[in-house]
Amino acid sequence: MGASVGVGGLIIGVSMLVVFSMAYQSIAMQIDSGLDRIEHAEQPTATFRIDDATLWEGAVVAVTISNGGAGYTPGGTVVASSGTGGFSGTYTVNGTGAISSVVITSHGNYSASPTLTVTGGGTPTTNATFSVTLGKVIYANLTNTGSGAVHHDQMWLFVDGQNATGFSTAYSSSISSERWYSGETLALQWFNASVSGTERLALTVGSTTVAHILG
Amino acid sequence: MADGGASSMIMLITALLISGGASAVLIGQWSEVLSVAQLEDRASLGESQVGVAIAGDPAMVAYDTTLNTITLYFVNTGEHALETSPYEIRINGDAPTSSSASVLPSGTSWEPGYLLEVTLTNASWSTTLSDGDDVAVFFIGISESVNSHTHSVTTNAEVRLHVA
Repeated sequence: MGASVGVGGLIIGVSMLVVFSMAYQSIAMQIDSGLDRIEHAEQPTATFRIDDATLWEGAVVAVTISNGGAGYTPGGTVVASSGTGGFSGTYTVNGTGAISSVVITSHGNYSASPTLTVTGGGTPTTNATFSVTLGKVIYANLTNTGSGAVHHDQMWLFVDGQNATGFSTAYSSSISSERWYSGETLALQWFNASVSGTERLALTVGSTTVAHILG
Repeated sequence: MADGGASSMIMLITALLISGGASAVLIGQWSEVLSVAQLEDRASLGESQVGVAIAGDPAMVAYDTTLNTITLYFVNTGEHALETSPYEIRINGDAPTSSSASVLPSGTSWEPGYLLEVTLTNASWSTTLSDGDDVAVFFIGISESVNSHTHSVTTNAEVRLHVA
């Protein structure tokens, strides 16, 4: 009698262990699966807008110093003495007062190459001369309206549906960050002489594309 | 009495052996079932981790009426690389007579976030398509192996042709 009860108890005990083991395996698998899916579902869809977009086809994209001149002093500005386009720049001088470099602060927009001169730079003994290169510049402000950050590598620019260009190629920032955070507005200045379109700028991030007419 | 005790012990040991063996077989089989279920689950999860979408301005898809070509861009929206070949594209349900593809920004592997620039050619488009037409685009491709599984990716959209 006692042996029978013992045998029965053992069988029941072993059965319960089996059931427990199976249940444990099932639950462990379901937890793994659930965690994988939660991790995947955490990535929100990017949402953003192009606040404005402007194409300037005659922007001064480069200034070459033909003759640095002499007798200049720091603190003046380089401006255009011909045309109406809004170019301005700063410069540095060397020991003889010659212009050694020009930094463009406003590219302007011209129909023909303007003549550049230096104003407010002292009394030069020899005037500096410059040559300019005109090119296309697209100015745009882009705002991330989503909840997540977007890496620049995930962003693609298009002009008139063509000229697919990685955002990081077109965008230069004063900081090293390569992420577009929620609520952040990026000021794009895209210098690209080879852009063939003139009508619409489009930005693609993942499966989302937003376009804006070029002003 | 002693005989009764011995027989009980034999029964006990026999029962233990049988139930132990049965348990081992049962747990082993259940583990296999779970392994298969887990593989299928991973395959299902992998399928949700691959994707493709049309990139670029859908209102200005480049249509060259001289060469009879349409240029489309597709972006890999998933978490795994996609194959650049084979793929199938239909324009208004028609297959192009030829197509070529390249990965942007560079390379041959269509990584997540990368573009596939596809140029399609079909001489018959010169009579059926023109600037400003809305056309239906359908794309189907395949992923590279994800957890030993390959998944198909599809996308479709209405786009407007633009002749530069």
